[in-house]
Amino acid sequence: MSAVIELSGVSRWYGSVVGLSRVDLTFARGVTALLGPNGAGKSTLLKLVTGLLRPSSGKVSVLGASPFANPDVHRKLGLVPEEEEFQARVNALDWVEYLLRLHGFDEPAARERAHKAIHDVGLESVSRRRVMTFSRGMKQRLRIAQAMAHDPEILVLDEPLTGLDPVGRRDVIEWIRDWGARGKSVLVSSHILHEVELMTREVVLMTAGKVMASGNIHEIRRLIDAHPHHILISTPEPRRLAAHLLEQDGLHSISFSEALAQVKLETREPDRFYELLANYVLHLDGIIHEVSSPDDNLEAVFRYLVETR
Amino acid sequence: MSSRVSLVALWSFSQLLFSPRTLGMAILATTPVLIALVYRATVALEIAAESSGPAAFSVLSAAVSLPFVAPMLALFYASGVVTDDAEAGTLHYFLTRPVARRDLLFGRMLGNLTIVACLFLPPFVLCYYLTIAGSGWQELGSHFPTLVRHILAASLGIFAYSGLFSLAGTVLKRPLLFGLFFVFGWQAAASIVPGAVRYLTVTHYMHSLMPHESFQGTLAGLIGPRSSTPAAILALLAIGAFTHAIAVWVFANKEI
Repeated sequence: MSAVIELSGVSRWYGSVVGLSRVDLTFARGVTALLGPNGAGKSTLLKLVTGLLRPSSGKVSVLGASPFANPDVHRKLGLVPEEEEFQARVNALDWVEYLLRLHGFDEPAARERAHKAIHDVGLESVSRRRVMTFSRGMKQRLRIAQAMAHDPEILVLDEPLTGLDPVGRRDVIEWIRDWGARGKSVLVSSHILHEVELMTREVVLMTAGKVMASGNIHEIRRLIDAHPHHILISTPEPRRLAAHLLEQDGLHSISFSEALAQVKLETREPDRFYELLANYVLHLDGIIHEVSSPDDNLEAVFRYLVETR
Repeated sequence: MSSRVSLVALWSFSQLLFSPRTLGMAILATTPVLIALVYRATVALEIAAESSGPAAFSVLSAAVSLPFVAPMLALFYASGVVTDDAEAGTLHYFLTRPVARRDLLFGRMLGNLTIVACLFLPPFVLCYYLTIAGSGWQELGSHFPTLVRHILAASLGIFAYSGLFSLAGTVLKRPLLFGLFFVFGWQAAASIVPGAVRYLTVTHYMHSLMPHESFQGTLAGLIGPRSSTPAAILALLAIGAFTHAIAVWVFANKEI
């Protein structure tokens, strides 16, 4: 499949700070997720793709052209910026309509499309309300409406699930998958792994301005799972729980602290241990208060990847 | 003018029209009207002579409207030509639309200039009426060329100031501070420094366009030597056109 977006040897510096370093990537049609902790370079990459920034070196090509200040590229592009605001006194419908007019739609067509986009994101009942009165979740829906209203070929979403409630998250994930299924190119950034897994199988892992890995999310999962997984358990009986866990195979290491009321273990079979702990909750009444994993955050995932390179 | 430019201009104008900034600027713009009303009251109470109307209008224009109200209006709108959207967080929406950046900025500038004109001109003409009307309709007519020259000076001055402050708005993060320094620091200092420094101000050319009879006594001493009318017109047009053009060029190449 031909590349819709192409970055060849792209670097971007902000003075002496490296935003992106020698990135080579191609994005085809479908959904691709940029995954990385804050400061990984995801937003810089998205700004380069949407033509808000120019690369310090290398070449960015979107639909065969440089996107910087290029109306031909922008005609086919929709952007959901991260945490961007709106003009204070404007209502949702007028805002989307104005942006559609800037796309070249005449007034009746712009109004019709604006109505549809507002309806599609579930803001119909508040379409005449001033945006300044919107909740964070409603604003995020409006950002998505303005990006999709002109039916772009490429949709770029910077942390689109920020500020959304569970229903909003589900809706947005569904829209993103639907856009990908319709043959559009969707580039979405996130720092939450399990959210990304619901959207796509294609991921690019970034950290410190570099691409650490790219490809199918399952391969990356396997790579991660090859390393011991940490599980932290809060318990009123750490000694007793540790004794139970010690009987299990697949345990890499275990430690407990009476003072902190916790057990810490390492395993290469996290799924089996999570299942086991769920059984303990059911059968060893009150022994487990909370189960968490420091590995759930992306920084830990990237530490693994950096160590393996 | 392209339809996108007029669309942006109309949108900018409508967004600014009912903004708190416009309310504040409307109060500023009507200050000369209040002074003119006070003058009318002094005439009614026979403190001032009726025949002093034309001189009162000239002083009001030369001391308040042109050196203070006009640059303040230009500053508060033109300096926000980019920073308004940057601060509101709406710039990304516009810069990823299929509109040439120069059209976006032209539209914003046009919207700003329109609102400045709407705020400046009606109170200014009202001042003319209030100060001279007492002398009768014939007086209003006979002094009309004076009004035209004052309006010409104000319009060209606003154009020049707007270009300068628009440029500051595209380059600087705090363009308002630059503008305040330029108007009240640099221009004030340059007007009292002997030599050619006054040619580096907008006020010099605005004053040069005002009718000669506007400057008598102390006021004439403050203004100093004047440039010829064609030179002043050309200078203000050149400052406005050049600074607007540079602002557009900077914005077209600006990274966000």
